[in-house]
Amino acid sequence: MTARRVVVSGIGVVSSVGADRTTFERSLRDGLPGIRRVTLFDTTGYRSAVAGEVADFRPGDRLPAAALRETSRTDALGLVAAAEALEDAALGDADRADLAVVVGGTTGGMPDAELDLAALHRDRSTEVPLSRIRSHPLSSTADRVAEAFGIQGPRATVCTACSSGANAVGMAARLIRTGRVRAALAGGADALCRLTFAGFSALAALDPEACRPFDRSRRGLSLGEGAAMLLVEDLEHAIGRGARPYAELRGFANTAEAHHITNPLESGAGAARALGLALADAGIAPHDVDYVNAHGTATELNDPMEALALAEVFGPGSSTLPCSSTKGQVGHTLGAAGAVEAAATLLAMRGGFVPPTVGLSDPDPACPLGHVMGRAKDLPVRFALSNSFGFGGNDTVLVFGPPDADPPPSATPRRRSVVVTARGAIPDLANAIASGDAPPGGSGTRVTEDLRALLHPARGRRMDRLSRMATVAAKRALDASGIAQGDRSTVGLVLGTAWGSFDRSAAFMDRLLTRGPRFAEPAEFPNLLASAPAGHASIYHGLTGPNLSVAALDASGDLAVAVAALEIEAGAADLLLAGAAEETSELVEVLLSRAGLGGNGAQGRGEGAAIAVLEEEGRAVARGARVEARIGGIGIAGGLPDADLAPVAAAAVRQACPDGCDVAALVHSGAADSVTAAALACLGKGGGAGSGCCGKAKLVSVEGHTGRHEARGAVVFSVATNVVARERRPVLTLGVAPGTAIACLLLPA
Amino acid sequence: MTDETASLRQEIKELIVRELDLADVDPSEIEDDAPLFGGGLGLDSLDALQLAMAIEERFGVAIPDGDGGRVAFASVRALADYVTAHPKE
Repeated sequence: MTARRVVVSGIGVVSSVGADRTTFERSLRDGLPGIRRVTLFDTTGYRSAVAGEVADFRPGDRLPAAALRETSRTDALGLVAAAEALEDAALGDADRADLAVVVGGTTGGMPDAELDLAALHRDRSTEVPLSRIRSHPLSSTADRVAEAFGIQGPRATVCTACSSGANAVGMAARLIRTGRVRAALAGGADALCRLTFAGFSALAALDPEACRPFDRSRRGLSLGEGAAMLLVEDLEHAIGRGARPYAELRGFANTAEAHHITNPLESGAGAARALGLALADAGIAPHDVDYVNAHGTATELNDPMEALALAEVFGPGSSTLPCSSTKGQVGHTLGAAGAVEAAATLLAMRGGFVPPTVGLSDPDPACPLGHVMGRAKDLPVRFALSNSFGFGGNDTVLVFGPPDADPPPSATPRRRSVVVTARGAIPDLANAIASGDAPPGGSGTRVTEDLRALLHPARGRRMDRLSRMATVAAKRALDASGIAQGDRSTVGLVLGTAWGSFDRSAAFMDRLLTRGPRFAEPAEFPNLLASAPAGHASIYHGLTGPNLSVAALDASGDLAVAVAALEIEAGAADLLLAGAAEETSELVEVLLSRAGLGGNGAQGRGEGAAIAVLEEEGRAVARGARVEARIGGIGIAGGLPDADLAPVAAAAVRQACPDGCDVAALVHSGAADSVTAAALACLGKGGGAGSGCCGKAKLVSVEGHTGRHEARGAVVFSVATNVVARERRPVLTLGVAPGTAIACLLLPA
Repeated sequence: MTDETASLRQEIKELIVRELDLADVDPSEIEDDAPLFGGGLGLDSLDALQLAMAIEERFGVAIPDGDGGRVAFASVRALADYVTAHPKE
């Protein structure tokens, strides 16, 4: 197989120190401060009145009105950055249409919707503008970007709190390395909102003034907003079209600390592990690194932890390792941070300078690093790291190098075989559905078991209901897997969730507005991030492998399984739990039905969590695991959000089964007949419905049993595995959402 | 110990169990002088923040960050004493 190297050939940035790349770079060189009084909302009563706000943001000056229709501020930030990255990369139209889009975020449409949510919590009949419903889900930004620029490749949204943007870039690189696409638009977007401001204020994590990363007198972080998009591309493809890459993304790593939902592991051991893995993936030694763009939030705990981690990896040399935190200028841009800071790193590499840490004047002796202060320092930067250490202990490191360096080990493609060895769910419906039991009818299943009783009271106490559902499903999967408690540490988790803890977010906002910022609940806030269930599950079960939360509306579960399979295939993990969790939500049902997004028929939404154990085949066999099914192929296809899904489904199925396949069944999440017919039509050898084999395939829809909740794709996968194990014949899965189709071919062991 | 003091301590114990979701703890079993943090209850810094918020909400008494707060949070007795010493304005 030919080597696949990943480069960055376009950058777009919107930040508080520049709403475009050129201005951003000048600000980095000049050390321009960007943390100022917040004007977007009243900050009375919060612990800080400043943030890295994008002042005077005029997306209408940069984009056509049609592109901004029904968008949130977060979407608009992402769109402007995407436009700039595309222009910078100068991709042709055909290449543009095939791009993957991977976006990281945490707040999504919350800035625009949060007041409505508070009102809705008080009174269900509150009018909420349709645009805010459409733009609320985290997946909205990726969909808006695809729509605005005619992009029809695979699409994904990632939430891993503060490392979302970095993981989005990593996921795009993974898609390129595994040959799914030649290029991708990847990054993050996040706008300031009262909810996160109140949350971090309640956690006493905000500096009342502009933050001072690594400074002896630092008092906490400053929030920020912004977006960055990178055009990430296969090196050969870039060279072939005459592009001039900024740098190569040589390596990356994503790990979980499994320690605490907000506090980092103080010893730095978790972060050090991510650093070590990333360097190994990149095939470089610590002494090769010229610059580290730190996570550097300026909190009491992060900065010394990061310094310890760097000392562990770099040895005594860490005290002179050139280092800076971009957060001193732009604040903590949450879901955008990993991407904004990657952009800063790349601009530093091209420009031959190390940006300063603005706000730093008296380095804390506990943070002995090669701090740059004041203005940028001219320095050739060949190899650089960008760190992002998120809430819940999600540690992600990106490693960049010059495109003319020797290929990294990560460039050598691996195509390992992935098998399914166990499953767990709550409620557990797979057997009933696979056996062909009649659907129960009514409003979709509810979780009626006592979740608290199923988990250890002390270890599970911080979780809200959604996190408990995910953790119980994971527990069942782990117990069924036969993996001993002591052997679970390297296990990772990829979890899909579309709406997260929606009702509790509304309640949080209502309380904020009626009682004031002083009484916002610190213990509640971390649970409101979409990354919380995966974070809690990893802490509860001690899982320190790769940890990702993904969102794709109704295809969230399907996406999680597909992403996990690709991770194992590519050698980034040996064993991953993969699935989804979605909670019943009165408010979501109210909004969806008003938006006419209530789905076909009277089927209620329901709720549930389902998780499968995906494993590298050799390892599974070696430990004597029972292999239920083997993944024969994965397809992730995109289309314009309002387009007919039938051709998108067909494209996904063709990716999963390029040579056609005689399947026993097509298990799906409730797709329309035209869509399932299009999927089946692709399975006959030579294509076309006349080939005969697909006419015998059973069609199994899970929706009648599960309800329409967005985690049902994980139940699809579980049912399909069940059918394969019973009938010892191939089965195809299909999940669809606006503009997305994901297919998986499962084969008998 | 007056009835008032006893009932304040009991109320604080109930508040701790409720606010911190200590589902398996009987409030009356929390000893007045047992260390709240670094002790058997397994409370951490996030709990301290939640508790401080809840105490202020219920009693109108703000617990300071840092060392001042640490003194108040030493035990249920310390917390009750702090609340009594700083009546709501």
